[in-house]
Amino acid sequence: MFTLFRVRTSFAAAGFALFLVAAPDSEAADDPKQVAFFEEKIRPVLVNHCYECHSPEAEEIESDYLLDTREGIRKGGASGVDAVIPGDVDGSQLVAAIRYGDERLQMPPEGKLPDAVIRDFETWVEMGAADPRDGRSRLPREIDADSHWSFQPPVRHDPPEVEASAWPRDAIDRFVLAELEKQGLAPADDADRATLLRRASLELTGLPPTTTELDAFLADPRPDAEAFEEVVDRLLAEPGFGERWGRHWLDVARFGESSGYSRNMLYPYAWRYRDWVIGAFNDDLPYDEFVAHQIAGDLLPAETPEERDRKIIATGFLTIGPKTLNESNPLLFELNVADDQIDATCRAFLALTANCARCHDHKYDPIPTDDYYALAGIFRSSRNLAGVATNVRAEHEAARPLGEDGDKRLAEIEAAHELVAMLQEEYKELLKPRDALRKELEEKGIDWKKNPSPELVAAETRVQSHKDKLAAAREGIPENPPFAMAVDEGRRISEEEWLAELEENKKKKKPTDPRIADSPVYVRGVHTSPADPVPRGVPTLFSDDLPAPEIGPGESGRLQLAEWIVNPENPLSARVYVNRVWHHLFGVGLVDTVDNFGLLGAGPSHPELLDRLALDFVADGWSTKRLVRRIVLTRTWQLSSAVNDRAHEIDPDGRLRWRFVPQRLEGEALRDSILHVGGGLDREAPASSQVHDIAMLQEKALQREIGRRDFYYSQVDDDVNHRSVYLPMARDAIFDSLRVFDSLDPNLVVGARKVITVPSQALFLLNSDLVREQSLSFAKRLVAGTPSLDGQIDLAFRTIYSREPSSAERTRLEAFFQGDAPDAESWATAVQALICAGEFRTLY
Amino acid sequence: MLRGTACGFGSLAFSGLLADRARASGNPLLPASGHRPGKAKNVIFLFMRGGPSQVDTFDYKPELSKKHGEEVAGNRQYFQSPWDFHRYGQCGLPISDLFPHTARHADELCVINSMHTDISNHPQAILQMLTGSFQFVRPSVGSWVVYGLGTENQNLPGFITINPDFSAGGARKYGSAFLPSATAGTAINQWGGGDGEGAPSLKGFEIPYATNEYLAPEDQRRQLDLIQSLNRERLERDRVNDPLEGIIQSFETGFRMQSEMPELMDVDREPSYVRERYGLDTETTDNFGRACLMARRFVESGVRFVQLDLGFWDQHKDLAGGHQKLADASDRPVAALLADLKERGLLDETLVLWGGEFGRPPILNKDKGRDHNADGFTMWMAGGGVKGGLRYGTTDELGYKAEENKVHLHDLHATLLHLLGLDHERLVYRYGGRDFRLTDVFGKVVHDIVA
Repeated sequence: MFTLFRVRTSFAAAGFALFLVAAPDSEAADDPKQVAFFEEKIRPVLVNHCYECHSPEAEEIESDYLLDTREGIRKGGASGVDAVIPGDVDGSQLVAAIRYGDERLQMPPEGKLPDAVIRDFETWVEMGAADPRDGRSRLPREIDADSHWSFQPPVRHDPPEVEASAWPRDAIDRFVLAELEKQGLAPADDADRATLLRRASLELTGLPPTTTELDAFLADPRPDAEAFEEVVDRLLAEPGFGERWGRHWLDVARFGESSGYSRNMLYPYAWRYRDWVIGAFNDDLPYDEFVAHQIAGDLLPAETPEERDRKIIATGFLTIGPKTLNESNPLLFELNVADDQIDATCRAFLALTANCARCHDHKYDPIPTDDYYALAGIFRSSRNLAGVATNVRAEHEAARPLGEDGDKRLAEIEAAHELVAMLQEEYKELLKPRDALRKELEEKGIDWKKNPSPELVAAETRVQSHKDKLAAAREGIPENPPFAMAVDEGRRISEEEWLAELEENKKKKKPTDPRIADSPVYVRGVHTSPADPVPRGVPTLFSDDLPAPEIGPGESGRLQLAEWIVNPENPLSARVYVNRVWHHLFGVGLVDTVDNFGLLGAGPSHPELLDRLALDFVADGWSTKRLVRRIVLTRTWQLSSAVNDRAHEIDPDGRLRWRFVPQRLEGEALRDSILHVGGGLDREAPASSQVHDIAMLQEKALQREIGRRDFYYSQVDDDVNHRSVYLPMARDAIFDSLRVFDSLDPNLVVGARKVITVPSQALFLLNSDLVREQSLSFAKRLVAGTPSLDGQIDLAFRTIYSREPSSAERTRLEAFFQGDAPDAESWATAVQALICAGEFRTLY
Repeated sequence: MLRGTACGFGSLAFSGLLADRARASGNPLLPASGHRPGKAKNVIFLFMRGGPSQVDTFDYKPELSKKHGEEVAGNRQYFQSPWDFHRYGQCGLPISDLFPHTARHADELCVINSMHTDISNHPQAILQMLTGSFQFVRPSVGSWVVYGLGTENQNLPGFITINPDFSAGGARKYGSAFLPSATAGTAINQWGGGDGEGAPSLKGFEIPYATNEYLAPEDQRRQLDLIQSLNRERLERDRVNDPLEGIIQSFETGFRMQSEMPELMDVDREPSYVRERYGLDTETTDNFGRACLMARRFVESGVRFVQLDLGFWDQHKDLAGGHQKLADASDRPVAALLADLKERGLLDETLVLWGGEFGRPPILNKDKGRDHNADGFTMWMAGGGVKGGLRYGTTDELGYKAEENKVHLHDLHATLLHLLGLDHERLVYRYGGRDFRLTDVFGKVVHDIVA
C-alpha cells in the first residue's frame, strides 16, 4: 500500500506527504454519533500530537500538511497523496503513518501512539471519517496573501474626528492626533523657529541654514506658519534638494560605480544615471514617469534628442547593479544579472522580495516561481549596455551612445575600426612577398638594403604606401560620442537564427546579444535544469484588481511592466513611495520595513493615513515636491522633540508621532555640513565623476579593475570639496569620510540606512585633515570678522548649531579659552569640538 | 573576576540584569559576570573566509579514496585529498599535511566534523556565521559577547577585528546592530578585497585617524573634555537620547584607543624568538603572524573578543595550489598562537575558534577545484573549556554531509556563549518590542565537547 505514496526518502524529512484530490464532504460529517466519536477519540489526539507541526499555529508547517480542518486532514500535504480517504483505511496515508509500518513515514515523530488509539483512527476512517471542522486549511502564506493589507487597494478614508479640533492643520494631523487621543496622549509643543529652520534645511537640502537665513527667518514678522511656508518653498527650489533626495533614491537604486564582487570593474558611465536622478528630483519629475523612465525610458516617446537621452540614461537603473563578471558560465551570468534586475525592480518600486522565487515559490509572499521567470523573461529579452567587461565576460561591454548622431557616430567609429583591422590584415599580407624577396636576396648573399632588386623596390613601395594608409585610417577614427549605461530591447529573431549565431560566435569567443524570448523556469534555481518557458509577464499577486498586460511577440515587456507598476490601481507603488518619503522626513516609515511590504514586513502604524497619503499623492500628479511640502507643513512634522515621560513610556520609539524623534545625519549630510561651516563646500556639480576619469586612463573596459594594484586607489582623490553625492561610489571602495559614518552598501537596495556609532567615527572627527582644516578656516573668519569673544561665541553657535549658546555653554567656552583672547588656532580647536559634539550630527 | 556585584544580582534573572547593568552604569563595556561561571573569558576567532575544504584539512575520509576518480554529473569527479593525513598527539587526531605545525597541538584541539549551515553563498553564509542571520541586520557574535560580559580593559575596545575586508556586508560582520554601539568591533586594516591577494601588510599599519598632527595630547584632552561637556549638557536637556549616549561612549573609547592601541599593535617590540615563532618577517607568514601575535597581545591586555580574517579559501580552481598557499600563510602563526597562549597560561581562559562559513564537497570540478558545501564542514576549537584531542561528530563516509551529532552553526554559537558562561536563551536584547538572541529561536549547546 505504500506504493501509493510519494514518500520522501530522508527519514528526517519524512512528514505527511501531500495530496491533490479534494474529498467531497461526506455525509458522515453530519452524523451526530460519528461526530461524537471524532470529538472524543480523534480530535484530542490531533490537538495533542499533530497540531504542533500541522496547523496554522505551527512555527513551521511540516510538509505543508494541515490537519486542522476536514478539508485539510483529508487532502494531505506536499506529497500530493490523499491522507484520509473516508472508508478506505489502508488507502489513507494518515493511518499508514501512525501505524509506523514504513520507516520513511512514521508519525508522530516522538513515538508510536498506543495501539488503542491507532485502532480508533482506523475505526474512524472506516466509518467515514466524520469531521465537523468546516473551513479551508490554508498555509499562512495563502491565508495572509489574500487578505494581506498591502495587496488590497488603498481606501480613501476621511480623517477621523478629534477632540483637540483646533490643533490639526492638515488631514495628516488628524489621523495622527486621533491615534494619540486613543492612547490618552497629547502632541508635544511646536518646535521653535530656529529648530524648525535647521530641521527643514537639513532634511530638504542636507545642509544647515546660514546665519543670514537664520536671522531672516527669526525676524520674519508674519505668523509662524506663513513664514515657514516661504522657507520650505525656497528650500524645495534649491539644487540641494535634488542632491539630498536624489541620494536617498540612489540608495534604493543600489547605485554604484563599479561591479563589485570578485572582479571589481569600474563603471565609467554610471555617473550619468546619478545626475539624472538628481535632476529628476530638482525638476520634480512626476514619480510615475520617474519609475517608467527607469524601466523603459528607451521605449517611450521623446520630442527632442535631449529628452531621448535623458530617458535612455534613466534605464541605467537596470544595469548599474553589481555584476558577477568573473562568472565563467554565460547563462549563469545572464541569470544573475536578471536576478539583480528583478530584485532591484521589485524592492525599489514595490517593496517586494521576489528573488526567493528564483529557486522555489516564495515562502511567505504570493510570488510563485513562474512569476519570477515571467519577469526574468522580460529582462533577459533586453540588452545591457554597460561599458564594462572582463576577459571572462564581455556581454555588457558596449555602452549606449548619446546625442542626436550618437548611433551614427558609433557606427562610423565601428566602420573606422573595421577599416583599420582590414588594412592591418592586408598589410600583413603585403609583408609576406616583400619578406620573401628580401630572403631570396639574402640567400644569394646580396645585401638587399644596398642592392634591392626592382621587384623588391616595388614591394617596399607598396608596403610603405599601405603603412601610410593604415596610419591615416587610425588617425581617422572619430572621437567617441558620449556614452551612458542603459538597456535596450533584445533582437527580434527566431530561435534558430539566434542559436546559429550563438554557435558562430562561440567559435569567435564573442558574446551573442539576447533575443526577445520567454525564459524557462530553472528548477530549484539551477541553471542546468531548465523546464518549460513561462510567458513574459508581471507578477500575478493582485491580478484580480489589475489585469496582466499583453506583451507582444516583438516586445521585451519592459514597457508593460513599467505601465503596470505605475498604474494607479497598483496597490503597492504609491504606498511604497509615500512611505519612503515619510521615512526620510521622520526617520522611520509609517511602515518600518520600507523595502518590504510583504508578509514578513511590518504593518503600518497608521494604515488609514498611509492609504490617504498614497491616494492623494496619485491624485496630485505624483509630485514628490508637493508631497514633501505637504508633510513638512503639518503640525506633526513641526513638533518639538521634547520628551514627555508618559508618552515615552507608552511609545518610546515615537511611532505615534507625539514628538519629533531626533534623527542622526547620514555621512553625506555630516560631511557636507562640515564643509558648509568651514566655507569649503564646492556647490558646483563635477562635470562627471572621478570614476569616469580614472576609468578613461585605461583604453579598454577589461583593464578597468579596481583591485589591480595602483590603478584605482593611487588615482582616486579624496581631497575634493564637492557635495558627497558626487564622490566616487565604486563598490567596496568608498571614502572613509562616508564609510565610517554609515553602513552604506551599494550592493543592496537600501531604503533605510542603519545608524551606527563606532569609535572610528570619533577618531575621524578628532583627527582627520578634513575636519581640522574646515574648523580652522571657519575659526579664521570668526576671529577676523568678530571682535569680542562674546560675539564670536554667538556666531560660532549660530553657524554650527543654528541657535544661541546657553549661558552654561558660554561659560564653558570662556573657561576653555582660559580668559585669553583666543587666536584662530585656539578657536579652531573649539570649533572642532562643536562639530564633534553629537548635536552637530543630530537632526532635532 | 566576577564584577557587577554592586548590582546585587542574587536571584534576579540575569538577562534582565545584563540590560540593567548597562543602563545603570551608562557603560555597557564594564565587565560583568555571565549567567554562570564559564571557563572561557576571551575568544580568538580565526575566521577562514571562503570555506576551507574539510576533507583536505581535518575530516579524514579514507572511503573517499575508494571512490577517487569516479565521475559525478557535470564533468566532475570524486576526488581524494591531495594531502596525506597523519595521526597526531596522544589522541591520534588525523590532520592533513596542510597543517603540520597546528597538528602538534592535536591534544588541545576539539575538532567538530559535523558542522552544517543553511546557505552556500559566501555573502549570506559569512553574515550568518558572524551574526547568526543572513537575512536581517543583527549584532555580530563579538558584539553579543561584549554585550554579555563587558570587557576588562576600558582603554581598549572590547571587540577587535583584524584584516576584515569590505565584502559580504562590510562592517556588518562586526557591527553591533541594535546593541549598544560600544560593543561594535573596531577594525584594524580593513581592506578593499577583490584581487584575491589577501589583506595588505599589517607591518607598520596605523589605525586611520588615530594620530593628531595639530594638537599636543594635553590640548586634545582638553578639547575632548569640551566635547563631552557639550554632549552631556545636551543629553541633560534631551533627557532621553540613546544615540547621543553612544556618541559620548565612542569618543571616550576612541580617545583612549589612540594612545594604547598603537603600542599593542607594535608587535615588532616583541623579542626576536617570539617574532620568529609567529613567522614574522618571513614573507608567507608575516601578515597572519602579525595578526595572531596582535591577537595574543590584545587578549592578554583584556580585549574580550578578537576576530581574525584570513581568506579567500574559495578554491573553485586549483584546490591544491590555493589551499596550500593559505595553509602556508597560517599554519605556523596559528601553532605559535596556541603555544604562546598555553605557555602564558592564557589558553585555559581563551577560546580559540577556527573555521570558515561553510565547507567544500569531496568532489573536484573541471577546474580542479571544489565548490561550495553548506551541508557539512569542519571547525575546531581549542582552550577555553573545551575537551582537547576530541573529534566530534561525523560527516557521511565521503565527507559530504554532516551525519552524526550534527552541529548547526546556531549550535556552535550557543556553545560558544555557554563556554563563556552565557546562556544563549537568556542573553537577550529587547528591541522594537521583541527580545532578540544571537541564536534566534534555534541553537542547542553541544555539552559533549565541554570539558
